[in-house]
Amino acid sequence: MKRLLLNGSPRGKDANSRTILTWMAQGLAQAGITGLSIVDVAPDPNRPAHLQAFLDADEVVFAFPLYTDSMPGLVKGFLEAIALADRPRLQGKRVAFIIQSGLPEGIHTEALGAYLARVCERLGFLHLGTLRKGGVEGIRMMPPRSIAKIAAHFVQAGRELGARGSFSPELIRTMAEPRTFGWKARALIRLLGGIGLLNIYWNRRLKNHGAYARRFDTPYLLGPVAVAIGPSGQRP
Amino acid sequence: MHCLVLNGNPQPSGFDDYLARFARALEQRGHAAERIELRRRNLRYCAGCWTCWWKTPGLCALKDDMADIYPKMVQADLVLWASPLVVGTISALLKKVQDRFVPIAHPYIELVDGECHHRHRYAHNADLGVIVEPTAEDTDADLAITRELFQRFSRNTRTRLRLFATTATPVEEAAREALAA
Repeated sequence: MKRLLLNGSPRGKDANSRTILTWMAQGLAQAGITGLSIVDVAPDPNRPAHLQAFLDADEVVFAFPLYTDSMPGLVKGFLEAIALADRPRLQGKRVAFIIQSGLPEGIHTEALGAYLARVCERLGFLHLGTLRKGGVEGIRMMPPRSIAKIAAHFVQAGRELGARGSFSPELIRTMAEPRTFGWKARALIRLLGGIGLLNIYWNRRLKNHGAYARRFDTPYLLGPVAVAIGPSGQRP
Repeated sequence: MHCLVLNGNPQPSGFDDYLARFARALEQRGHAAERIELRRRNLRYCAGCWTCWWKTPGLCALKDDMADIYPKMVQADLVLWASPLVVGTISALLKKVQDRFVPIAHPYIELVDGECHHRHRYAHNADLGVIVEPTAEDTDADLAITRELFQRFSRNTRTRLRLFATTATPVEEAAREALAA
């Protein structure tokens, strides 16, 4: 069986989705499936070699981030290109999806999950399941210990896919949790927001780039001429 | 009211005529409607560089026609996302522009109605409208999914989904809905 790991992140090789796919590959290897490589859709969803790789594969794991509450435009472009193929070439293809989001709750990815299930139905794919995992922004930069649990889930997902040919309903459910936060977590988030710790990751990045003082800039109110120069007289 | 119509139709078709009639119906009621045919523009895919979030806050690093479209988006009262359905939802062309909304949002997370959402960068925030053209293959379930995707977008961007119409909706009715407060 030919297998393909497909990374639909706009960031290409530097993507969290790619990290997730390497964990999936580890899990697949534990189930005896080795030698898999990862193909990046970015920066062009219409590259013939990649479309061909998809058409030739018997099983595809397609991972990408939630982007403005849906799939990245690149992923949509890739699906549109695939849909032009003769339907018999798509019929029965085994396809699994992974949606990862920076926003932590599962509710943000539900609608996209429903769309992807419908895509499988429409194009005749055998849907192996869609994993939805929130709170993933920045995993490439986190110390290994703090991401051990997320990594373990994706390794398990790879193992399940290799051993049983699909993700278990329990794993799909667990990874998408919490759908929304309970009152205790919400109180903690409010507290962290109040003392300025909720956005510590973003503040650190803004400070690293000397942009913290300009973090609330609204450059597009100035019109296209000012935009070309930049909000603080600097060329971007 | 100023309405910005983002036409994500990848090929010329009757869909463009529907949008022209929709714009005319708004103008006849004394409102401004500006249509942008995205297929004629030089537009790149968001690269996920986050320059707009942590290097030049609010400013996209890509050099393309979005530089003209962004000021229109942040100043409009209603941004209308328009597209024929392609593989069951909006075209990749329109989604490409939706992805480019990132600089208009702020990286900070806030709790809104019990959910985590991004802070909005601009004090004024255009309402949302959606007009789609289903194909024979599309069902009510497909329309409901696209509507829900935009409901989520409106929640996360703190905007109101004012209009969700298909080209089966009479133009006058769509215009009335777009103008409803």
